[in-house]
Amino acid sequence: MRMLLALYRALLRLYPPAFRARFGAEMEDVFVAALAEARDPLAAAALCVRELRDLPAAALAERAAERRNERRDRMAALPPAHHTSRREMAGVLVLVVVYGILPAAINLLIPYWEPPQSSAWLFAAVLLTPVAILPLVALWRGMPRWSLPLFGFGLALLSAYQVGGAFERTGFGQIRWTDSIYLVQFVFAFTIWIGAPLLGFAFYGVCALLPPLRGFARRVHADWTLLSFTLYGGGLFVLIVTLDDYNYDGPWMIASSLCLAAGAWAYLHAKSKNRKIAALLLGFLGAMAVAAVGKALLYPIQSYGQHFTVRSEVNSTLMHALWFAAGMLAPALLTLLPPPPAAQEADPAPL
Amino acid sequence: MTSPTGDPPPLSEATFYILLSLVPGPAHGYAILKETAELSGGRVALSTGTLYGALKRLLEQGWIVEAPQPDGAATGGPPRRAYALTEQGRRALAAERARLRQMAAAARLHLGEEGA
Repeated sequence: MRMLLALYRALLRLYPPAFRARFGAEMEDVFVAALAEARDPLAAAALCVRELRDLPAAALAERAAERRNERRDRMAALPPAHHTSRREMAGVLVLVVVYGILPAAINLLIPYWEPPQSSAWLFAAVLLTPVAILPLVALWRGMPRWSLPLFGFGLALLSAYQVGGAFERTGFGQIRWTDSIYLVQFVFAFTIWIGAPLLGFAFYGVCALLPPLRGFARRVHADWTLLSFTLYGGGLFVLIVTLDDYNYDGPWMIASSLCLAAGAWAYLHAKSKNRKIAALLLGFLGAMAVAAVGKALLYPIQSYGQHFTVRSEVNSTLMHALWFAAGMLAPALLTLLPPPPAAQEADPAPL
Repeated sequence: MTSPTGDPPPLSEATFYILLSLVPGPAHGYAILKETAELSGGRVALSTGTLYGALKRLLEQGWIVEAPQPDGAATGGPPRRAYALTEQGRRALAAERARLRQMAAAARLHLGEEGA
């Protein structure tokens, strides 16, 4: 009996402390009473087997329920949209630094440098850790604002390679009915960035369907600029695509990345939705404008064929900026729609 | 928690018997355990883990409340905690009874009184 009780108490320790404090002693009393009243040794043995079998499973279920509740509470306690901490800004900067500033700075300091074979894994780890670890941390912590651009970076990547690739396979992206390079660039930019807002809305839909992420979906529903801020992270990928294959583009990449960071800072500090939209628009267009100026100035020292000119290169940047900005702001523009009629009726008439 | 129709969701067998055991009046854990086994004809034998997990959820849902019982104090031991059914719990039980009745009626209609 004493050994059984010791074993029962040990199994009770598997429960979360709060549950144990509330029900532990009572459960032990009930177990002792049930054991004492067992009509024969066989019934007592059956009782013990049932208890020893069920208790660990029930304890683990309680721990899982407690974790779910903690996550729900944490999401409810997320800071209001206008509150910005240094940690939040640091989270946003990870993306800009790792994928924008760091590669450009290395390229600037040591042109044409590639990591040696022996330490390639270290550089791969530095580049891949943010995309591999931070989204998991963010999902665990209820998708805080600092993590959203990181998801947007991934969505832009998917848009360019998957949606853009699908367009390419259909031949739509390679229009042959015109010789105008400007029109080709217009259509090409459309095909690779149209997926970003579509994937953004799909991302919102998936979050709305999955119970652990519904809190995030509710926050987006209350403030659609959050989805635009998510897509804003893809702006860095647009910059990478825009400046791709340009020699000596390091300073321009760094300056453009800093423009994006400034836009994110302004967004996180903006108190009204209109200011948030303005921060995203100016941050992204500012970054693309810097990239366009950089391309125009760097063009003479590139070795491009006659098919491309300074004007076509600037036009290409403009097209990327136009289509991506339109897609990025599509969710935020939902906030500018008039409220539904029921809500309008509920509003008190102005005095 | 309610279904889209506004009714409480179907109850598990254990929850149903726990609520049913509280209909006559407040009871403590061990009494619920015994009553549950008796009501189900010995088919539902709850372990303490299952019982207290269910009691915790029912407390959170507001279907039962804690009701201190003076018998522990009378015997000199620690006061035993008893649990009592709330109005909300009674409604859930009534809804479950209606659901079971409807299911039984449907089964009678298609299978006859004797079954298939």
